Amino acid sequence: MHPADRRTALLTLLLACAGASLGALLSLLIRWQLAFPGRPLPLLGALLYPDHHGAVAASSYPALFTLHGTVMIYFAVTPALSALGLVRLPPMVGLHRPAHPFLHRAALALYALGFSLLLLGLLSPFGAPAFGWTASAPLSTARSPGAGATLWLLAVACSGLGALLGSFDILSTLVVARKVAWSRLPLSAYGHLFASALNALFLPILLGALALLFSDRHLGTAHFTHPLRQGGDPLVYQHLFWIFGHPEVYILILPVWGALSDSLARAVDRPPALARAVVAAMAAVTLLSSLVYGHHLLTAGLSPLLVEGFMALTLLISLPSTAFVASWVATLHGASLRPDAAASYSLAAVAIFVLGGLTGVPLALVSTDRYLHDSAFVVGHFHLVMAATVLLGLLAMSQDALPRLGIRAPSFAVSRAHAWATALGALGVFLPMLRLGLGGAPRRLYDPSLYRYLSPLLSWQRAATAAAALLVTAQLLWLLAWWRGRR
Amino acid sequence: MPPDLSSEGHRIDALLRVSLGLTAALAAFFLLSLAWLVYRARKRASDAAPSSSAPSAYAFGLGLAVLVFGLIDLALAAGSRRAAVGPPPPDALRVEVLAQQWAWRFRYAGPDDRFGTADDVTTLNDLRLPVGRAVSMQVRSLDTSHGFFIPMLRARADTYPGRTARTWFRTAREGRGELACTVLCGDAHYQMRGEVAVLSNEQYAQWMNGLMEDQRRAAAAAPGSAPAWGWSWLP
Ligand SMILES: [Cu+2]
Repeated sequence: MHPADRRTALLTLLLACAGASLGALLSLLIRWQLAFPGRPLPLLGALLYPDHHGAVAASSYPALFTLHGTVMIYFAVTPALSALGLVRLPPMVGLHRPAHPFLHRAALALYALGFSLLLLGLLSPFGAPAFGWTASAPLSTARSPGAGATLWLLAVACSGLGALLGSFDILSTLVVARKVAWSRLPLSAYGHLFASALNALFLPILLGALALLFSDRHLGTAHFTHPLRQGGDPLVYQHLFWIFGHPEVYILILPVWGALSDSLARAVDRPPALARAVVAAMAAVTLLSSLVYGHHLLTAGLSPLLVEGFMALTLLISLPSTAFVASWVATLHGASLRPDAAASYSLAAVAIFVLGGLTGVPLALVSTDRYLHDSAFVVGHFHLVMAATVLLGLLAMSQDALPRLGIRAPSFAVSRAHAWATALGALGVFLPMLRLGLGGAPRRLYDPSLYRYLSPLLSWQRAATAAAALLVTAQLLWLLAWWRGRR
Repeated sequence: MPPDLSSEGHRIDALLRVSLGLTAALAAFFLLSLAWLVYRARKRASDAAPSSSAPSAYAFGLGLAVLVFGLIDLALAAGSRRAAVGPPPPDALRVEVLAQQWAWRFRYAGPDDRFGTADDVTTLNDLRLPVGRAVSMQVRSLDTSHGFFIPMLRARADTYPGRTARTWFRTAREGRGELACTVLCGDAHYQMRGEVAVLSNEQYAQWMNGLMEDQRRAAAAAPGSAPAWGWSWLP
């Protein structure tokens, strides 16, 4: 690998690890507060909340989950995928370097700048942004004074612009510079191709929405305020955000799908079964992902025709998804499996992905979403896919990527333990969330114990918190695996 | 799920049970198959047995799986349509709701059955309803978006500033419930809690008469002090 690309990839991965560590720490603070509302945090309490007897302050709770979501999506998974694409993609298409390596260097600079701006925002007079990672207006405009919120906007714009530049590099490498026929590309390459296409199409919409938010905050406009008083409409922001926000899910999962297929195939030493159906399914999912964003607005009072149309399109996604699952099953069928670390992570990811995907069905149905919308069930569902599956997929990808960066290959025994500890830990955190949502628990509540009907569910909160502590601790196994790795 | 005080909620609950049951069955089937396949494939590797594959069977299996999942989707979509509630009946009890940081205000039309008149009855974070009645609600927000959610009545309406959200349900059983805000609306979002009670018709009438009496007295003592946020009911 070219030393300059190697440096870019290593630094981007380091930044992603820093982001993921911060995001994990924030999730532990959130989990502690939900399981033990108002009780002092162990270890960190006196440091973080000296004026509040060491307990999480109500006024800081929204900032915790805002930062958790922002950091995990824009400053952990996004840069990690970008770096892993930079390392893994060129050899797949017969090249030593990507078409425009400077684009990935620029992306790294933007991620680093964005991350710094986000952290700077925590020090601002009115404190951290506290409007959720979706930054719904007018909560994120008129109702969020202070520099922290503006710095959040700029930080996310930096990450979005970085990801956009990275996707241009991936697209030009794959479409223009490629030295291998389309039919001989591995599924990982197709995963990056479709994800980059979605990036190129939909990140500009995010950037546009952020620019309009900025203008509402600082230039006196009223795009997203009040239709009767100032002429703008908050619902327009919801449309703009989710037109990007839904494809974003597939931007993060498509490269993972491809990598899971490839690493399972490598472990059984034959090509992935039904590979052409998988590519067709990736294309179908890419198309559908841009048509289903309305399921985030099923309860927003859109016309019934629109709502049912979005439900039908959302349910349609289950059909191409079946092709991925069928391919994984067929790849393993009749094969002889010599599992390596990548295969262990991939098997764990496949098992969790199927659970996570299936729990999307009750959310897609208009009638049951009427009950489940904005509940802990939603949080459990998308974390199974976006957190657990994507994390395991990134770990699978890093098995061949990190040795290329000059890092020793990890110990297989420890990696396997890490894969299963991560999978079980994730189930321990996110399955209780599904149960909480069925009990009617809304997401984003600082203190659920204020609600009579939620108090019987406290033990589920505690179970999720205990599992979260285990899940985070289990990540030390990852470090151990690389440390114990052979040269 | 919390107890259901409405007459239509059981349709949502039933669909939820069916879709979750299918989800659990499909997940269990897949996970068991995966475990079996991995076990077989590892055994083959340790026995050094030749591997086999059957591409045409895989294609057939994929087609079958897509067909089965397609039928499940169709059935669930049809179930969702059947569980949909449709428009509220014309004789429904009408209640206006104003959401604001961080409270719920309720407005009943009073004896003249018209909103925005002097005999309107208003309450704060306290919604009481008669049993056996269809209840139609229109929800507006004063400041930022809020989520009106009564789990025990399976009722939800997300509200955006400048728009009117609607929901309706029919009360079937007496009991107490709670109202929660489900859309993040600021630091005290979690405190946006309301009491909900479904009362017998006598208790409801007694409560309503008491409120009207209080309000008449308050108006006589300080004319013009009644909260003036109502709107004329939208068709
Ligand atoms: Cu609210």
